[in-house]
Amino acid sequence: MGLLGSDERPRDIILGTLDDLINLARSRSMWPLTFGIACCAIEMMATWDPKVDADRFGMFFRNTPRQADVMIVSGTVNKKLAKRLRRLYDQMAEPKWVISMGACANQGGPFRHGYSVVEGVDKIVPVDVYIPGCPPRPEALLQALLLLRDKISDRELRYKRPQEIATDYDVFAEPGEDGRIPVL
Amino acid sequence: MDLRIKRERLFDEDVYTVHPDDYRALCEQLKKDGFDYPRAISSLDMGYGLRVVLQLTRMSDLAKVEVRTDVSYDVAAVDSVTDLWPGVEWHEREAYDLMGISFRGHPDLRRLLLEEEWDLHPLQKRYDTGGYLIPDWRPADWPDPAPWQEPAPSQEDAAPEGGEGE
Amino acid sequence: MSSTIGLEPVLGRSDEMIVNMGPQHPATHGVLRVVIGLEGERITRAVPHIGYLHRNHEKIEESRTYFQVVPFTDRMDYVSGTQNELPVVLAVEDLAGIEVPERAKMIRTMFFELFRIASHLVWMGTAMLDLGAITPFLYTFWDREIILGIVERTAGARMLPNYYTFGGVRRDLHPHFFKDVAEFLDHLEKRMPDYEHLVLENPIVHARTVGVGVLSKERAVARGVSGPVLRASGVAYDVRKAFPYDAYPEVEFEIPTSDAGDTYARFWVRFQEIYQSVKILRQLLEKTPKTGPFKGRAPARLKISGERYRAVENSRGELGVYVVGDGGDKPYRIKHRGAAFSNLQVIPDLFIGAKFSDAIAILSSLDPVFGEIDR
Repeated sequence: MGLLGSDERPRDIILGTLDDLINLARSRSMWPLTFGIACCAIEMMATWDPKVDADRFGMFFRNTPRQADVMIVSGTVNKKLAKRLRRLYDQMAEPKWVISMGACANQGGPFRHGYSVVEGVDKIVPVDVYIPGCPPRPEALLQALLLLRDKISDRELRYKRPQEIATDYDVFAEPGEDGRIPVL
Repeated sequence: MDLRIKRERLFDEDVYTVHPDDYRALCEQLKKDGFDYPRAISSLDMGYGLRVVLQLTRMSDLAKVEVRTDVSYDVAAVDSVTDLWPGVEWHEREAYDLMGISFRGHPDLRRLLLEEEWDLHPLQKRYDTGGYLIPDWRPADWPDPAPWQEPAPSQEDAAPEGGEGE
Repeated sequence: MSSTIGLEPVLGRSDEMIVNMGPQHPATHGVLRVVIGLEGERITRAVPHIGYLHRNHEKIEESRTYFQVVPFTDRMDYVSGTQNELPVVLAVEDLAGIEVPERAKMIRTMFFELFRIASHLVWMGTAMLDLGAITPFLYTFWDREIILGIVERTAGARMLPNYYTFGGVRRDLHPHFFKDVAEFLDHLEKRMPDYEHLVLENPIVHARTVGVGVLSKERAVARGVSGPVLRASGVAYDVRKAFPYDAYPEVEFEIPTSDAGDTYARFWVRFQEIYQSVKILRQLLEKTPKTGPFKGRAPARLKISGERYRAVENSRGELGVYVVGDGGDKPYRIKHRGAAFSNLQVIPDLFIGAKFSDAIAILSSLDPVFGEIDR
């Protein structure tokens, strides 16, 4: 007699699709990459300290991009770093997610009008969650991680392969004589 | 030796303004005088040329000295003092990178902060900051701040702070 | 030039192995890249590459008013918060002739020392993480959170408070400030024996740091090194004593130095500095009046002309600034002299000849912060 036909199923058995099971596993074991860039990296470390303690959600830092699922872009990304950041993202195994932490990663922050800063990490890699703040508090990063967890396990928002990132200018370009970035 | 030099006293340091050809000779002199601790090399775009500012300390009596030398845009090079004070190595590379001043005799003169392929020296004044200027947030009829030689006010009516908005 | 910069001299040799460390590396404290040449376990070459966090501080500050420059400086040495603001504030006060009330000086000094403790606690946690010990990190960050809580109560922000301003500080102290700090100091004094036990008396730390990465006194001075790295090499140079600023002339403290110059000495000096900071804070808690002016009279719009170099002793060493004003309300040029910038130059001196695993210990003893190095 199969369990499916029975009216009295044991209570510890849940029925669902395999997708749900996989996403449950993925969302409960997000492993971020150890990649501190700037000020926000200190708050990122503080998120894993005993006070906020993100460990309890099953998130542990992995030191190599090959083992990591989540990249937390914690700080200003300049043009020199941007190429390396993209390479790190490409090295991460699918599926992968990106959290943009702080004003600098979101849009360049206070430095965005300078000659060397990329105006937002979403020009380089697709971003799933943005956190405002300069720097965001550890609680904000924790909330972002929980939002990402919901996103991973949500049917509606489910992860899709990132599309090409369209910008109307060369992100890595050297500024011209007037200090502006040449438009493609 | 006759050095083309001007000496003045600013706050707590001696300031030497020297002809770029004598820069190296003056530095050797200072090294002999016991200035052994290099603090920093700064660089400025003066409008008529580029300026190198070398700051030194003597550890024995904590005397401070500042050496300034101006070079034209066409030359934009002074002698390196890396062999006298190895600690200025990165400072000279930074000045080369951001201001475009070459240091003759530097062992490893290449870009420090920007990428090697770039040929822009962004701290020169001819480069804009990105076309971004802060609009003056004060209305035209904003009263001029009171002259601040006035006696200090009590805590309640301290002067309004400026520059917080953009 | 090609992207193999730093590698050309060694590419032709068959007995040398090239290892690239960074910019993504768990032990580089940020985005440092070091290209290391190895012969077996020995390091034969070390070429540091920086600039991965270069965010045009100096250029962008030229287009900001002096009041707007101060929050930018916060983001340089982001571990030690308000300490970065002080050089700019002091230099502008010198040039503009702004008077600072005594109480404001004392408040500034208290925050300065609180952040020194916070920075050294972060160093302790991360240095031990590099050496493979996770436990100290959990303790030190707990204590750091207490300091940040105290700072937040008064200044309004945790890490980068933008608290100092020309003529004093931005707000008055929180009513609980004195009680909070006194409680924290009591707590820290109880913790310090634990930290010593975990770090300084740890046999693994001894084995990995004693005699490793020795920096001689002459080399340290010639390289322009400052802060705990310089004092661990036996030079008693401390800007707080050499060129006193704010309330430092009024407090008593010592400059801990060590003659060993090795990695362990640099660890030891930072520990002693925490004790000295506690001593300074205890004196200032007694001396600072509970009420009074916290800010002198400063013009709402500063117009400055002249040049001035001012330096302070932050957690990493001599943090200086060279301000040039042309009579306008925006600086003509600001040059920041990062302490860690000069300290990091000794990487080739210390790495070459050391074992590869020692490189991590040496680097953590230099305590670089890349916001200040790359600016």
